[in-house]
Amino acid sequence: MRHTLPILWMVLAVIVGGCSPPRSSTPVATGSAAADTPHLAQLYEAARQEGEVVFESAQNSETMQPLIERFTAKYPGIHVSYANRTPGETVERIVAEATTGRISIDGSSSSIRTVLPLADRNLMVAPDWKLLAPDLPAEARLLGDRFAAWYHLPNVLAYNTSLVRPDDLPKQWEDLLAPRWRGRKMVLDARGIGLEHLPFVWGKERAYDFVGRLKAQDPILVPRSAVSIERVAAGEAPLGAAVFPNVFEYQAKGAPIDWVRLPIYEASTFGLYATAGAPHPNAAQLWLAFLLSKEGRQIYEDTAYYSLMFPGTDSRMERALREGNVQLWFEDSEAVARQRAEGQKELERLLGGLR
Amino acid sequence: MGIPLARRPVATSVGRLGAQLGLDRLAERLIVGGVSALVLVLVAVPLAMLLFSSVRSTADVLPFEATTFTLANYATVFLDSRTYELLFNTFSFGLGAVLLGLVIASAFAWLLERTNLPARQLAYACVLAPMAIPPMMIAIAWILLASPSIGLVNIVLRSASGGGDQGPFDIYSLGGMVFVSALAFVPSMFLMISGAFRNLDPAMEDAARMSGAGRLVVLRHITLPLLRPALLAATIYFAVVVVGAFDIPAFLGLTTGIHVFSTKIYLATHPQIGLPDYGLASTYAVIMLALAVVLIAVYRRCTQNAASFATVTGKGYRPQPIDLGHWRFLALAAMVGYLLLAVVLPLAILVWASLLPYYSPPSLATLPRLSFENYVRAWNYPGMQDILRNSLLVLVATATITMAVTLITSWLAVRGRARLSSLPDTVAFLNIGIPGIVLALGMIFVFLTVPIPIYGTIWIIVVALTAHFLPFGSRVLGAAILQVHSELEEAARMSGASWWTTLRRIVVPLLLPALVNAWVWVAVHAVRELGISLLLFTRGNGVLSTLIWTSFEQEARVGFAATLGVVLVLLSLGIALVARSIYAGQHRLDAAAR
Repeated sequence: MRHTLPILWMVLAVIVGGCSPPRSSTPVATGSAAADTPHLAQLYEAARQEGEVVFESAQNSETMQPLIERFTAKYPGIHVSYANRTPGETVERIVAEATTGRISIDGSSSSIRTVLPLADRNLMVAPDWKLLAPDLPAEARLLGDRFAAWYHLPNVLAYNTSLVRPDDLPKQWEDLLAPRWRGRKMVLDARGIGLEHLPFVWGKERAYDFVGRLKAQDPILVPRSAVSIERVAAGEAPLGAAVFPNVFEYQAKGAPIDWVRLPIYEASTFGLYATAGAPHPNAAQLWLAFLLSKEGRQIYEDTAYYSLMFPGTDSRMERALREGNVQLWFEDSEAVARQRAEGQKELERLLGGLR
Repeated sequence: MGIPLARRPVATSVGRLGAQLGLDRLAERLIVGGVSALVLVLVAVPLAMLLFSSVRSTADVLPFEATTFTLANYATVFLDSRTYELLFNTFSFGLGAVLLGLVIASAFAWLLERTNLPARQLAYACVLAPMAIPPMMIAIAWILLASPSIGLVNIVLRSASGGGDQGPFDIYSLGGMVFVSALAFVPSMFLMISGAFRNLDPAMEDAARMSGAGRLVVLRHITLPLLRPALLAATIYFAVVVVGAFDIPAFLGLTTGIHVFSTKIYLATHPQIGLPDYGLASTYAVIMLALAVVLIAVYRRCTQNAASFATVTGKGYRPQPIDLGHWRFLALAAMVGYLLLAVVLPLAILVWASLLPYYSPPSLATLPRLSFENYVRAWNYPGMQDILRNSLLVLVATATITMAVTLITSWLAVRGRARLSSLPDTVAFLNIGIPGIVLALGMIFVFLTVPIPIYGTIWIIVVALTAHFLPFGSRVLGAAILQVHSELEEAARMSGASWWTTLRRIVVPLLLPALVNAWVWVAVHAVRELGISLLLFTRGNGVLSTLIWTSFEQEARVGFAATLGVVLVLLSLGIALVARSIYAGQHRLDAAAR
């Protein structure tokens, strides 16, 4: 007992001290900020006075780390405080903080419909994106210029190559109603994600009838698509919903995963916004400018496969879809996002969901 | 255990005695008043927030935004037939998990505290080990073990029987939820009742046996009635805890549409689109709170006569272990069986999962893919140093503050003579009916408003967790104090000891087993607690549990989450062993002093 406590504290000190240090380590300046436009240079000076940008997103810290390191190397004197949180929780936090006048989050990433409560409360700023991100296509600026598309997230169907032969794969959406896919043979997102484009493409009646019959196939329902692909890779079911970047990620890990070439899939639009009334407005805009720059988007694609997928962007995912003759349906406006949100409730009800 | 009476000489003059008593009373009132006020604030504010939100129209607005007062939330809940299905599921799940868990925990407590079971230290540590595994990790482990198609247990059984591609077990069921919850709660139940088993004076049992009563008769008419406060406290407490539990019902029940109140509240506070409906969530929470109040009233009625349960008195007693004889092998086998189900199998499958880049059931073909990649990744994870430091701070601070506060409130409830003496303890216990998520939201609003700068720091998590664990501390210490007859404290006071000296040198040493056990329980639960930490964490105050959650629930990285779960298990095992070492060391010092 006499020796237990000191030994334990020594072990804990080694563990806590030995693993990765806090992100506040000072980066080496590279001076590449000098290559920025005059507007960005001016923004940098103002941002350096603020000294920090507070940003949240659904990406884990490892995915964001290369971006953070490059940003802090390019813009010394600005610390990026990052938290991994779901977009919905971030939106809720901002609304709660706004009621007390003490907003702490400078910006975040979200889908269009998730950020609508902020838009409705005028809690998003409308920066001049032409100055911040000159390379950004006009169609990427949404919600009255308060939201800039950062990447598209196609929701596809993945399959376990050890459990399904290519010839047995569905060719059309309706093929999922075949008897071979009945009885816990599919893993679906209980929220209806991955099926939300169908009411727009087919009409509501046909789409809701299809989803009702899909429910009768007794699929496994999971809270989100990331869980689905893990189960498919483990062999729990041969087929399942997946976000497209995860397919590449699992393939890189050597998992027996590939994706089904159905004629059309949907793509959610995830974008960036800066919070109105935030404590570091200039640093926030500079950070968003970096994320939307060619360099920032390339780092993001190299790290996590995420990218914009407008036709002609020639990203890895866009090429894969083009080569598979797969069409993408985009959520490309506030009006569509609102309609989609309403439709999603019905889809979730039809699937019997988690709620 | 030694009972060191006051060593100072008895006060020799009436004047000095009077002044001493006056200061003593003042100190007592200040401490008691301060702690009571703290408890009332910690509990009253979230309660007020809960009641306020339940009568607000909060579809797509927050409770404090411009909206109306309404009873529509209550109408929605009580007029919806699914609410009664919820009630049925919740009661079935709660009743089953509590009964199964309590039977196992009581048997365990009796074996470890009253018999000559061998390998006690190891057995004790293994009982507590499941506590270190977050409920969601136990759920994940049992999904990997008993999922209908890829569960390891099912694969083995199917290969032995030669048929089918599903089953025989389906962990995604009400039975699966009861089984896994019982396994998860046995350690906590054990900690709550083991002190009572240990402190039971065997004189009454010996007297009954000498009069010719058999073992079962002694158990039914002597032992169980004496243990009734502790067993009842545990039953009531865990009935409310299980009803409010979220992790296991979420992972095992949602995919098959088995909804309970806790998951309903969570879903209402985590909509897919728009803002949470806190009005509806708070309404469900008010119903849960009403259940808790009823249970508390039942508890108070059953434990009214405290003195009849006191077995630790001023007379000396030496608990003698019961000789199990040949039965100890069967007892050992039963314990090994429990350890296998609760610790060995879940830990083994988690370790297996932690060594894989993506999960596959154990097989020879998978062996080449095993690596320590996830562990290297965890070591290098950005901000891991902050996360570990925060986790350690949370567990130490929460456990220590919770025990200090509930020591005062429990003592006041049991020994206080004033009419409102039990109010702080009752109020502390009411917190059990407030879901952690709603409690956390209340804390956000409070600390965004009042000028105490802990919002966004680790301390807001500590404050919220302390409020959350007050009920546990109050039940454990309340039951323990009930077993200590007041004559010991009265003897100390009559010898001139102050109230504070009596508390410090008489009450606390006698309560040490319960205090240590409860401290360990709170520490381990604080470091793995999820709902409150998730809502309150920002950059810089993340803890291990939030990282595990985001790794699994958001990113479905079973391997990485399993890795962090293994780290958490080792950390919590270390806490338990250190705490036991301290207690055992203190025990030896006291024995040497006698």
